[in-house]
Amino acid sequence: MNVSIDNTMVMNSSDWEKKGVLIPVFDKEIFTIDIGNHQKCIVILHGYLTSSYDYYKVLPELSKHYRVVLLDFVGFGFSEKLDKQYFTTIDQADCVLELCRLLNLNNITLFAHDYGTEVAQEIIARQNYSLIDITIEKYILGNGNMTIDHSCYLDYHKKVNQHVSKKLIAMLASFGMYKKAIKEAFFDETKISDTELIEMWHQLELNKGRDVINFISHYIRERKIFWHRWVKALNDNKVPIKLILGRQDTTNINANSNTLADKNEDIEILWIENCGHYPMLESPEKWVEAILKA
Amino acid sequence: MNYLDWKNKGKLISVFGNDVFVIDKGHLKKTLVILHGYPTSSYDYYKTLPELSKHYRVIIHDHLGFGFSDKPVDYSYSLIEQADVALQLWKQLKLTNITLLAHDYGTSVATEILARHNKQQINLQIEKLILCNGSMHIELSKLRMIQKLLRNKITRKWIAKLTNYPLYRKNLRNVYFDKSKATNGELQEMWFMLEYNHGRKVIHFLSNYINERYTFWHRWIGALKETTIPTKIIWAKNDPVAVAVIAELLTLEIPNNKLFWIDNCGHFPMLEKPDEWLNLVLK
Repeated sequence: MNVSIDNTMVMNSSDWEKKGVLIPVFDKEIFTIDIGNHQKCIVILHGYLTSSYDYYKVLPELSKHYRVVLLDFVGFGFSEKLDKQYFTTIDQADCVLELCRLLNLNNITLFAHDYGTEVAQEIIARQNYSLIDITIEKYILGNGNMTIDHSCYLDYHKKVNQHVSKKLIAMLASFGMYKKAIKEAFFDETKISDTELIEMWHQLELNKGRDVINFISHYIRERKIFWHRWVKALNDNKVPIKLILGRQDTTNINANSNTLADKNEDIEILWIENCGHYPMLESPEKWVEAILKA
Repeated sequence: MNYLDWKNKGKLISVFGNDVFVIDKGHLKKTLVILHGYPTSSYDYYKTLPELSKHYRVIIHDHLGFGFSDKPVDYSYSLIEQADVALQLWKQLKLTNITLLAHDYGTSVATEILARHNKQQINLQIEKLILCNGSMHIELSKLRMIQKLLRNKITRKWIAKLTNYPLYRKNLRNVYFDKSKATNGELQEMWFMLEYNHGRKVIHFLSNYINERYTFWHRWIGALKETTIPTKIIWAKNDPVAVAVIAELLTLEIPNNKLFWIDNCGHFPMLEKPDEWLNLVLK
């Protein structure tokens, strides 16, 4: 299928905000966009330091085929931001599942990118253990940070940790650093405009979003704690898992390796060529085609 | 009690593919489930089980990595997973109404279970909660040097290798108020259970729980603040690790609670002062 997307218009934050609503989930307000009148539904989990806004280019096309549910994680985008408190991956997973329940979603395809892939892995673990009631029929994982595409089967490497934490901390320092880090994650830097980056930064800054004390150290610690749980989740998957990956992802130390797919024959990879860490922004047409194919 | 005699009292039940050692004693309808502490096992309750089982059906399991349960090396040993396992075990035993008693490490598994209970993610009626000495407020606890070393990612592997019976005995005896109550015989049996199934290979993973208590502080303390379950806090006053001030703070945080002190007693009240402890539990 050939998908064509108008790449020229940049969405501004307040227009994006108008597309969604705040839904109380447990005691947190979660910004949710729910568009498209279809039986089939796709729930999308965004990455670290960005938000649902990453999907503004693909939403119109995707919603022709799916009921699309986009949410901002607690602490990101237009969702509630907690004061100096780390909201764990376990808590994020609780909220995502509760939101699906509140919206009465069925036949769910779950797509996750970057940080979202960790929340997805936690959800996969729970589904494998039959701890959840809702039915997720398929998982599609995008470019992750560490666990998914390369270091999945390596031992926890100090260098990887340091690399990741340094980068993530630097991103928070100023708009200049943020811009640099996001741009570096693209294969073709011209595909992300300054206007878009300003909107993304604006959402990050909103409600003192940068003020998440100790986020990185908790984040890295959680990855260590749940290392075996999440690797096992991917290996024992009871429903299909597909990967859609931008080939030239420089945010990963070794982006071309596909150890996960090598180890687990059930897992299939769809590569997007000439594309970095954010295919939904850099190659939106190809990304939508891949989702529809996966 | 000899550790093999204790083993004969229980059975292995497979939970998510791992064998969990379970004691299931008593025929009453009322059920008491117990989550034991670190780095010991269900054996902590050998003195009190006969009396408890006159009042309750008592279920005590060894967490994975402890006692006679499986100790896989490629496992996270997260308190989140220990909660998954406990809940699945109780589901397999078809428990619906329970009194939940937790001590030490077990109190954190209990708070994770409470978080899920508050969010109505589990079908389990928890009628009563009993919390014994446990450092839920990790920021207030006085960690032993050995705990600090086991928690540190550089030293922990070496410390785990070097851990031996004399060191274990010394550390355990030190958390008693009356050191003479920790007999060599008893400590020896506890050490055997730690060593069982190559347990020393996983002890540094198990020690990760201290880090988790920091990361999940808001989730778990939040769960205690939210719960409406009637809670009894039974606290040995002279615990050098889970200090008395933690219990005092819990009384301010848990909505429906009652605090009972055990004087002149250290970290293991069920072993050091079993009669007093039993009276308070059964009261």
